[in-house]
Amino acid sequence: MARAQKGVEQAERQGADEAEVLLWDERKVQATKAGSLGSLEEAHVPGTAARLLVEGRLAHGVSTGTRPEDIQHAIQAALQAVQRAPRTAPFDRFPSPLGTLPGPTTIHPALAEPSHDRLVAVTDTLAAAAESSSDVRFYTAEVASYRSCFALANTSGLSTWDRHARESASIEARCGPQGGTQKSAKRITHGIEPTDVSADLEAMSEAAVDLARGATKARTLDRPVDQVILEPAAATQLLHQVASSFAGRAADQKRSRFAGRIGQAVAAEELTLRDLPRGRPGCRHQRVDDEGVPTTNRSLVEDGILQGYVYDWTSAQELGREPTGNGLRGLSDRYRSQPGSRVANLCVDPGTWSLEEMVEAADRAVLVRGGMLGSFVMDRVRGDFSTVSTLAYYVEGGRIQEPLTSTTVAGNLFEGLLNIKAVGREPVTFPKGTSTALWVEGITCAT
Amino acid sequence: MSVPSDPSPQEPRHIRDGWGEETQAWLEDARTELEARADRFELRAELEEHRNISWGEDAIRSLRQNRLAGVAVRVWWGDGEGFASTHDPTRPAIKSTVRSAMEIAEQAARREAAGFGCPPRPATTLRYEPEIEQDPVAAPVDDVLAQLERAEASALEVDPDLYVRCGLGAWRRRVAYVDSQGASADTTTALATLLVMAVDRSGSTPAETGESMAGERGLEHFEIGGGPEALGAQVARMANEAATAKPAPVGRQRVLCDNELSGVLAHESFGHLAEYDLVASRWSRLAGHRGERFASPDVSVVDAPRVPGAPRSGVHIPVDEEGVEGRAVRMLDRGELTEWMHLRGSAVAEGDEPTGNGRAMHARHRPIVRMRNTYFEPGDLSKEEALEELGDGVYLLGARGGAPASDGSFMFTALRGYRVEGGEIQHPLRSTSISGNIFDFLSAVEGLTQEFEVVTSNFGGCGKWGQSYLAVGTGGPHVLVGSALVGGEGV
Repeated sequence: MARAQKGVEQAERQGADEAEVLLWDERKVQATKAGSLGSLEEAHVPGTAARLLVEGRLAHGVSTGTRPEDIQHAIQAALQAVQRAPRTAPFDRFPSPLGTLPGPTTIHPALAEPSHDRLVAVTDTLAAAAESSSDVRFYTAEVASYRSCFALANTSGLSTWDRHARESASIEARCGPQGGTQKSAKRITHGIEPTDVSADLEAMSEAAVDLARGATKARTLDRPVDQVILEPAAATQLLHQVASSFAGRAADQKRSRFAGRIGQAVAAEELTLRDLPRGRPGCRHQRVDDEGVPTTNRSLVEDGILQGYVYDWTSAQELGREPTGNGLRGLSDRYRSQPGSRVANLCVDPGTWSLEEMVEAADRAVLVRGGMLGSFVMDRVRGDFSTVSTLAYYVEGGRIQEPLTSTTVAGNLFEGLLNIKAVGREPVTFPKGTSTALWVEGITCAT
Repeated sequence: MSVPSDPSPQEPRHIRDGWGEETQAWLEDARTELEARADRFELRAELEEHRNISWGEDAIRSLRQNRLAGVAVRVWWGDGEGFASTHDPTRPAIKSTVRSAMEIAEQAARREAAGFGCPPRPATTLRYEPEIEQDPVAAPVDDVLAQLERAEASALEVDPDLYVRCGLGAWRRRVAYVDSQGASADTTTALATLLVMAVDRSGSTPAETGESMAGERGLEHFEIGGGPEALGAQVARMANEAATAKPAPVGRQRVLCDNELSGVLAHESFGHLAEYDLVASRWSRLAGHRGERFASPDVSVVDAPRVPGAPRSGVHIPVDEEGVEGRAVRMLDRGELTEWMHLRGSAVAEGDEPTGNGRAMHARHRPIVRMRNTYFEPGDLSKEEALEELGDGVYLLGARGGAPASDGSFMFTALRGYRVEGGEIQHPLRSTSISGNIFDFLSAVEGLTQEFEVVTSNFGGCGKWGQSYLAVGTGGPHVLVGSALVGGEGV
C-alpha cells in the first residue's frame, strides 16, 4: 500500500489534480497431462494502473511491473493521454474511504503458495482414471491455481488492499470406436479451497468417461424442439451473457434490454439472481471494488422482478446515482482495463427442482449436459443468441432417450429468461458465480 | 543479449530503447546460469506497446497506452521440460524464473511426462522490422483522432440517430530470442485495427453491428479504399439493415459463406485439428490419417505467415517464439491431408521441416502450435455464379468466434446474412450460428470463388490453452456448402 500511496504523491507532483494508483500482482501455476504429454508452468504478472484527473480531464495509463520506474511509466502514460482527453470527467475526485471495511479476503494457505507436487498429483489422479478405461481415445487433465492481490490508493485518502485465490480442475475424455463416431465430455470444478477441487477426482474422471461413452450412439432430431434443460455449466454460460445488461450506463443509454424496467418482470418468477461479492458462494469475492468502493451483496432480479442496476464510481457520478461497489476491471490482466460497471459474482438462488424432476416432467425437450461450445453468438443488445451443444440428449415422455449429434441451441436470451419453467436446487460453483440447472421454453434446438 | 541500434525513430521509446544495460546484464547472468545447469534452453525477452482509443459523440471515450515487458525461460533437463516466466524484469524475479523453470524441468523428468524435446538446430540469426510510416502506437494522437472523427461523421451522415463508436487498437511487439544452440532472433511485429460500431435504436429492439480494417499497417494504410469515410458509411448502412433483419432459419440449409466466414471455417473446422500438439495428444480426429482424402480435389487449406492485402490484410508472423522462420503449410492439398503445423521439436520428430507455428502470445506463455493466416485457396466461381448455384438457402457474412470440439464438431458465428431464393437475395438475416462436423462439412463444399481476402483484428482472435485472444488472420474466397446446420429462431 505504501508504494501505491507514493505513486499517488508522485502523480500529484507531476501535475495531477487527483490521482489513483492500483498495483496488481497475479501468479498462476498450471499442470496438464494429455496422454504421454505433460507440462507444468508458472507465470507471474505484476502491473500498475494509474488514473489521473487534470483540469476536468480523466485518463488512464498502465505498465507491467510494480517497481518505482513502472509506476512512473504508468503515470507518464496517463499524463500523455490526459492532454487529449475531453474536459468532461463526471467527477472531481476519486472515492473517499467509505466506512469501516472488513478484513482482507481470506484465502486458503494451500492456494496462497500452491505446491507443484499437489497440482501434479491432482492431474495424475484425473488422468489415471481416464487411462484405465479401454475405450478412452483421448483425454486431457488439467489443474490451474490462481492467486492475486492488489493495493489501491488515491488522493481522497483511500488506501486499501485485498487478495484473491481460486483453483480449477478439469478432465476431458473422448470415447468411441476407432474410425467411428467419437464423443467428448468434460467435467470441471472450481473453488476457493483445495477440497472444492480435489474432493472426488476419480468420480469426476469416471463421470466424464461415462458421459462420453454413452454419447457415441448419437441420432438427429426429426424436427426442432423448443424446450431445453440446461445443466449448470450451460446455464451459467447463458446467464453471464445477460450480466452486461445490468450496467447502469448501458441502461441510461438504452443499450440494455433492461433499460427503464426496474420493478418490472424481466424473468420468470422462479428466478432470483444476486451479486454476492462478499462471502460464499461463488469464487469472485472482494471487500472493495477496483475503485476502492466497498462491495455489497445485492439482488439483481428477485422473483423475476428487476431490482436495479450496478454502477461503478464514474458512471454513478455521471448519472447522479450512488456507486454500488461494482467498479470492476476485466477478469484477466485486471490492471490493463479500466473499471466499468460489472457484476462480480453472479449467483442463482437455488430453486426447488432436481435435474431428474425436470426431465421427468418434460414431454419433449433437449437436455444439454456440460457446457456449450466456444464463444456465443450473442447480440448483447437485442439478446439473440445461438450456440452448439455436443452433449445434448433427446428427452421424451419424461425420459432421457438417445444422445444427439451436434445440436444448435438458439433463441432470444431475454425472452428465455421470461420463459424459465424451473430452477434447479443444487448450485454449482464457477469462477464468476454459481448456477443451477434451468429448464427454459422457447429456445430452439435443432440438429 | 544485445539490442540492435537505431531502430525507427517512430518506434515507441520503450521498444526503441530496448532493455536497459542493467536488464541486459541480468539476462546475460540468466543465460550463464542456464548454460551451466540446463541441458538445453531458450531465453526470450519481450517488449510490447499497446494503444487503444475509443471515440464517439465528438469526444474521446477512452485512451489507453500500455507497455508490457517480460522474460520467459524454457529449459530441458533429461527428458523433462520446464517453463516459467515473469513480467517483472528485475534481477530477483529473473533469477527466480530461471530457478522455477529448472525445478519444473527436473520434476517433469522424474514424472516422465514428455514434451517434444529440443532437437539440434542450426545457429540461425533472424531479424525483422515492419515497414510502416505512421506507426499507430507512436503517431500523434491527433492524427489517430482525425481518422476516427471522419469515420464517425460519415456514419452519422448516413443516419444521424445512430449510436456510433469508432476505435483504434494497435500494438507493436519486440521479441529477442536466444537459445543454447546459438540460434537468435530479434523481431518486431505490429498490428493495427480501425473499427466502427453502430447501434440502430429506432426499432423496438436495438440492433448492433460493426466492421473494421486491420493488418500490419500504419495510419497511411487506413486511407486506402475509401478510407475511414467509406468504413463509417458502410457500418451505418449495415446497422440500418440489421434493424430490419429477421431471425435466421433453424436447421440444415444450403449456405454461401463470405470471405470472413469461410476463413473461420478453415480455421475452426480444419486448422485446429491439424495443430500437431493436438494431433500428438490424440485430441485431433486427424491423428493417424495423414495422406488420406477428406475433400474434393477443389479444396485446399493453407496456413501462411503472411497474406498481404489492402485496405485489409492478415497478420504477419515472420518468426515464431521458438526462433523459427515461418513458411506456408498446405494442410489440405487438393483434398488430401498432407501437412501438420508444428513446434520445432514436433517437426523434427515427424521428419518435417519446421513451420514457424510455435507462437506464444506474451512472455508469460510457452510456445504452442498456433495458426497464423488460415484460408481456403480460391476457386473459379464469381460471386454471382456462387449465389446462382446456392439457389435456395442462406448467404452468411462476417464472423465472430467459434470453437472446435475434439470429435470434429465445430460451431462458429455469422454476424449477418441474407435469405436467398432462386439465387436472388430476399431479406436480411440476424446474427446466427453455423455448425457441423468437419468430415461432413468438407465433403459438402460445392464451390469456391475467385476473389480472395484475408482479415484480422486487434479486437478478438483465437483462444487455446489459456492464450487468448491471439491475433490470427482468417479469410479466403466465398465458399458454397451443400448442407450445414444453421441456428436461429424460426424454421
